[in-house]
Amino acid sequence: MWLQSIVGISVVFLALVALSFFIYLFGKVMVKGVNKKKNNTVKTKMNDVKNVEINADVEDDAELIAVITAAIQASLVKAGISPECKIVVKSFKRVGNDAPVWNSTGREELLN
Amino acid sequence: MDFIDGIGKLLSESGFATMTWQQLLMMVISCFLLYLGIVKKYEPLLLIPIAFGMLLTNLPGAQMFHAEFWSNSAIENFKPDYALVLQKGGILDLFYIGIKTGLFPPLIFMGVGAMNDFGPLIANPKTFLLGAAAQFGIFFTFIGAQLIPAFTIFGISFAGFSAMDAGAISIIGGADGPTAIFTATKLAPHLLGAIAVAAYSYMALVPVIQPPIMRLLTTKKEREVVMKQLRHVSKKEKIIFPIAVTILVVLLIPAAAPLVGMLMLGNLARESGVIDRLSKTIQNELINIVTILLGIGVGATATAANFLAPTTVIIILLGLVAFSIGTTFGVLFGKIMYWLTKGKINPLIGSAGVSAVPMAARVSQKVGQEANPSNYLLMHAMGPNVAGVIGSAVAAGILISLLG
Repeated sequence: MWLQSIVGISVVFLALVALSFFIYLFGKVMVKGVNKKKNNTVKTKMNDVKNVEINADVEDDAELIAVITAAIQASLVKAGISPECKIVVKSFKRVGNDAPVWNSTGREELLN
Repeated sequence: MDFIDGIGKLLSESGFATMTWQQLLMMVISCFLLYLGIVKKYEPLLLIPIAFGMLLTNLPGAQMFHAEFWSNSAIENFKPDYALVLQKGGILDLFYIGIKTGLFPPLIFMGVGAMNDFGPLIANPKTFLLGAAAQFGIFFTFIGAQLIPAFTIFGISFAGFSAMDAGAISIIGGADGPTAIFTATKLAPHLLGAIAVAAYSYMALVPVIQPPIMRLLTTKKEREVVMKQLRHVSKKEKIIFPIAVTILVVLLIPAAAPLVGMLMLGNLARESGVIDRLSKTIQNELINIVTILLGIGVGATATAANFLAPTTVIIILLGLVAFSIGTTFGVLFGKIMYWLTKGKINPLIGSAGVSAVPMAARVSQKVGQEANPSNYLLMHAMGPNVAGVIGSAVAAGILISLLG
């Protein structure tokens, strides 16, 4: 009984560690391959482009509020409402995510 | 025969006259399970067919299911006579053929594979370990079930569980319905009804059972950890993954082949992108049809004689133990990974290792968000969650080959 349990859990770990290791190695190879390809294209086509660092601090609420305000203003203008219409975003709150996980995954895949 | 005699004969043959109190009690239990499914929405997709199967099988005189065709404790290694089942069996006997022969659970697994994205697991293969850790619940319960001594209380006797019974019961800790049904059919078919009801009830109760354990075992600081965004997983990786897993796992544990093979076939259908029609059928029509037949067939085995026994209560309690231990080890392993990675892994995703896809991952997300509202753990928790599905299928294969 004890032996069977020890053998059982050991084999489960062995199988999943083997899989994990295999996927890890495989991922490394794939990521390397993709990076190599990317580097080649960058070198040939965009030699003069300098690296531009964008420091977007998404945790900064003030910046987020500014972005949200601008987005609402822009959508109002697009909808034909006067740009004079003034909006003040005082706070924002993330609504609960009720979407089924399949839908979220699908959406995320589309975004990627 | 005069009119009165005719009516009398009809009445004496009706279910009202032949009903036993045990059957009546089973009807009440099935109505309660229907209530849980319909009103409380506890895994309704399976609980409703299971509960209705229970109701049908316990209606006296309906002859829809014949337990005697499928098992006989007096005969060792009893093999069902399928010719007899086809000739004399009721409709529930016919549905049960698909369970007894081990056909339905792998088909459900094919659907699960087609519905699941293994991307988060491929992006972070370390989470495989969390899926393995959560299987501790299965093996602890396997020992625990065999340690329960035989007893007699108030004239009700319990003869103890054999190793095969214990193996079938412990798989409830895998929190995976089809795996539990598959294993129970192979190891202890007489306990199938109770095991299926326990497994699906606990899966529905994941949001109630897991959070207290998760909060108890983690500090607020650990729960607040925001994990690094997962890398992009290429299509090629997603296609090679199911093929590689099938080869590796089946070579290692051949008994896990029906479950793992079908799971990965379903996933390959989804990821290959060239058989969209088949993939859609697998994740919609096929899994729905099989779910109906599987649910009713499982419910049918819950006859009064099988279900109204002390073993049912013990199985339900052991299921809870298995599930809680699985969650505990998942979270504890998550903590170990938190320390080893110097705080890069949120231990809450460990609890998702018990499978119960995608409910357990959503629980990790919810508990994580309570501690840090801007934290999104869902995709990170999907890794251990699908690893848990593979892990419990592997554990089932091991139990079947060790005990079967």
